[in-house]
Amino acid sequence: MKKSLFYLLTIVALVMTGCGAKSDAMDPTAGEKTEQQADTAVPEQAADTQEPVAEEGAVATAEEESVAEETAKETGVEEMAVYFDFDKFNIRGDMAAVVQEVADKLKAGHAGATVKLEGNCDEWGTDEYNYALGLKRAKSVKDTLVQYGVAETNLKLISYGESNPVCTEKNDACWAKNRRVEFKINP
Amino acid sequence: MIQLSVFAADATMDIVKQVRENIKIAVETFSSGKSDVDFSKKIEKMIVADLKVAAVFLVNESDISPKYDSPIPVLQYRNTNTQLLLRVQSIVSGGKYGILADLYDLEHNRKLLAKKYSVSSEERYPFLTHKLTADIAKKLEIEDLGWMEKFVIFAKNTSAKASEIVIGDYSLTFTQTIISGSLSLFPKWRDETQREFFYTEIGDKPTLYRANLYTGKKEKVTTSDGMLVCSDVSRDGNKLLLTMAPDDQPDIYVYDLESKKLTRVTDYKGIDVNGNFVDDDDTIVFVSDRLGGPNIFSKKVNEKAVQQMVFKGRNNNFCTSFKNYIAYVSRDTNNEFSDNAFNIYLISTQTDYIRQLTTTGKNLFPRFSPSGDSMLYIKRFKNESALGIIRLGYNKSFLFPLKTGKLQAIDW
Repeated sequence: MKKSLFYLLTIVALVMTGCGAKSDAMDPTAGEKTEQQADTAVPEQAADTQEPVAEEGAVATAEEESVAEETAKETGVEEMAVYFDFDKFNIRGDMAAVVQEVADKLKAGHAGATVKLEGNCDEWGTDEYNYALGLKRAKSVKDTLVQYGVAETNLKLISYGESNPVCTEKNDACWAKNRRVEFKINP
Repeated sequence: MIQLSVFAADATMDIVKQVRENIKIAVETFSSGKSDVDFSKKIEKMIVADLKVAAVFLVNESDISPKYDSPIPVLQYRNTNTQLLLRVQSIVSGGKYGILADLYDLEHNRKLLAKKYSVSSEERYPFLTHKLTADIAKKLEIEDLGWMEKFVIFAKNTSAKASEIVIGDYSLTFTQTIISGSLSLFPKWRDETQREFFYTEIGDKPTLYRANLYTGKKEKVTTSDGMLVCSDVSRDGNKLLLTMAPDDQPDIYVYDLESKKLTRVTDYKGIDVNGNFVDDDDTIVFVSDRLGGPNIFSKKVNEKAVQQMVFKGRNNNFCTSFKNYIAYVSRDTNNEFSDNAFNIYLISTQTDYIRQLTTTGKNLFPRFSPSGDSMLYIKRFKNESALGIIRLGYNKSFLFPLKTGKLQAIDW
């Protein structure tokens, strides 16, 4: 009985140390190995052979994978943008789902974070008006995020007018890319 | 330098009361020795350009006389109906770069002007001929060309979220970066002395700074969430018209530098920007989209009523003023998918006439000269931008390309 308890504690210890040790490593093949080992491991024999270590490690690795996946979602908002029509600051029909997705991500992963909404414009027109247009775009997105349940106090606005283009080609595709609002978390 | 002819003068254009044109002037330039031959050639090119930009002269570069102090061949010049002779000799001595200049009235056989100018560095040589041209205009009582000898100040975008603030001569031959390493935009002189200027730094939060060009000292004036631009300064230099957005809403405010009091001037829920003082600084003209698209309006600073000023064009997105005159930028095409034309128009608050000042391309950010007879603006074409000058009384305009970067805002 005592031996069983020892082995159980050993297993638990191995699980915990396995988690700590493996969280520093980013082995891209870890997932593959984990799947194969999980199919063959037998839990009650784990304390006596290397197999249980691998088995426990397999559980830990699987957990790390899910942690890694959440990390990708956190940076996702900063890689997203809401685009606007020429000379407009209202949210387009096709952008409503994007704003909804941003709201969902912010509520799920950044509930207390400060989020800066950066308004941008294409190169047409004089820059002072474009700064205001960029700001109104950011405000439209902010108001919609608030409607979707994001805390208003966490949202800050700034406009860059024409001064922050993502491209400089003279064509409609590039101009459309520059008419956008982007997000920066805890800037 | 590129010269463009715009179009004929019109009877309502009375910014310049009396216009003199086509004064025939011969220009002779000399070096003082072999060591400054190259410098002399730069001077020659610049003085000819300055006289052409003055727009009153028909300029003839001459090499008739062998030396700066040789007798003047008056008869030879009179045979070509030349009215004036300008002789310029360059001097490089004791670490200074200078010119001697004599202006002769060939019709009446008299010397009108004898001047000597110098600068401490060669790169500033354009100011030698700019000052000479301004002094010639003053002597001939043509008009005030004092703007020629002053700095222009501008912001240029260098890359995404990066810019520089630069001073230069009007032809951009001389330029000096004075602010870099940040996103600093919308520079605006405090007054004609050009000792201080305001600008916006977009850091974590837009901040308006007041900087001294000669001491390098800068101090924070105010900050705002969202955006912050100094659009205009009152004539006494003590009140600023700001566009700011403390509630995420762009509106126009008056900021008193002495009392530090901020007074809100507009409160429309859309876009109100780009205020400019008119009529003894108790009225402003500004851009607002309160009727569906950007247009030009006016209101008294302390009253609520707003008056529409321009009734032509769907997108009038910038304005500036001088006494009773308003210049504004109108987008003349509405094409999302190709080049659009932005042109500058001039109106008087006293008449219904509209005068178109540019005809093609993207012409932005007009600024009247301090005397109102010329206009500075930004011209964008393809991937380049240029500083433009319109000589309002003469219907001539000139372009000076910027070597690198894209002009964002200018002032003189």
